[in-house]
Amino acid sequence: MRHFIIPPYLLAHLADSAGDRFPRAAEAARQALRNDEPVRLARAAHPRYPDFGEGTPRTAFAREPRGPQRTIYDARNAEELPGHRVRAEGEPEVVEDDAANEGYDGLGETYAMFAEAFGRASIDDRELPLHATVHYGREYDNAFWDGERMVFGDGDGEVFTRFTASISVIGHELGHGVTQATANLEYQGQAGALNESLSDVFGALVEQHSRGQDAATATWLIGAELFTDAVEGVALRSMKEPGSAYDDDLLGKDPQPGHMDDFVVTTEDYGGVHINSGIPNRAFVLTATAIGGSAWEAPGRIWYETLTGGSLTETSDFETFATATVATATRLFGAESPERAAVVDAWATVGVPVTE
Amino acid sequence: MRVVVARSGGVTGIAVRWVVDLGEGPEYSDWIVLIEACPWDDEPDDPPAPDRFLYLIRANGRRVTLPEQRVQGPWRELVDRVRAVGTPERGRALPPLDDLDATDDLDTADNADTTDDAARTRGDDRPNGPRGSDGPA
Ligand SMILES: [Zn+2]
Repeated sequence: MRHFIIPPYLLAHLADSAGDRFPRAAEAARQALRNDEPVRLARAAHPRYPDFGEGTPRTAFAREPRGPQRTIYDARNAEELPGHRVRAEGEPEVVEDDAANEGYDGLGETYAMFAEAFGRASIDDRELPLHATVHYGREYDNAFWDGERMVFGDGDGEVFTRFTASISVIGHELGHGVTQATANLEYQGQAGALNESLSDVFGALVEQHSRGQDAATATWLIGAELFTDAVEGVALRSMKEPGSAYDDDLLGKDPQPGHMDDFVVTTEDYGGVHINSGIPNRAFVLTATAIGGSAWEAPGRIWYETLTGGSLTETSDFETFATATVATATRLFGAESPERAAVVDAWATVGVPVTE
Repeated sequence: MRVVVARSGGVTGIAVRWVVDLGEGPEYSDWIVLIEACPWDDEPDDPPAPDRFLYLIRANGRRVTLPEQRVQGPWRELVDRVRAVGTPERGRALPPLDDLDATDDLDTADNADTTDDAARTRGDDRPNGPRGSDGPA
């Protein structure tokens, strides 16, 4: 190795991935990271991490992440991607373009949550640059992750405002990128609803992390900023009380279930992935409120490490995921821990059986 | 004849449906030409993409499911036209699509196994009717 100061994210990367080809570099990196253990990990001391043999605790990454490399594009109401580059990392705000600036800030908040809570270096954990396109299409009521970038519409102005206005939606879209880079849950049926739910979880965590809210005071709403004043509703979804987000003449009633008894079978929306996500969403909120404190800490870590830990397949269903979260909680916090008990209780409350 | 465009998915998860009932108006044959210009038999089996809209389109005894990325060319023209004419109905309180099928069958019962030729003939049989009868019924 050459002799220059190696930032922790790079040490972590080496510790993680250099093992096969450069075992000495990997061990040196691991040693350096151990010497640099964050104080706030003290509560989760090594003896409680019997399975951490494959690497160092991931949160050791989080001390000095390199930071996001953001680029914002403007589609100018066309549907061609990426559009015209309007702002890159470190450049000043775009004059009179709230969507561009909100997108820039939201990508930064999302990067920060994943880096500081989970030690994740961007979407792919390898500092993937973050690209977003705003002003996509005309009156486009949507935002999506297209496999490479986030794309945001301006909304129709009657029901929806611009989609960059919601930090939980920005975090949701980037969350799809993280899922794609890890368990790659297929976007259909229960696996698709889990994919959706994980994006809602990450979206909520990004918002809470940016506002310093704990599980008890957080709104647990997704897209609270998107409806116009004409709509009788508070958000697209309520993770805490699925089915309660809106009840409006124009939109009908929020169709999300919060229990397996009410699981919706439909061919629309790839098997109702945005509907049945209410069930695992509620399980996460129950877990987070039972554990208490910042939801991106223990609860978020259990969900994140379940997603990234390699035990899921692309077709995992609710039961498989629930069982895997219990296993993750056991591994991280111990079989008798309140964290594990919170996870077990949460899945029981929403009617998803856990196989042990 | 009833033309239905049902859009589900998107990050909002709020379904929207546009329904147009075509009478024997002056634009009927234009609609038929547009409908028959669409490649109904080329239903793509693309893997679902997160938060993209999913369109279900029904017309003239046919139906197709398309991700929004595939709503191009004549499909885009058809969808934009239905959206321009039809009134959007949103939310999950909409009647199930199967109910719409039944309604549609009433209009196309004589035409259940529509082929391209049959559809063209049907369009030709109904050239120009009184104006103003092709909006939502
Ligand atoms: Zn989504």
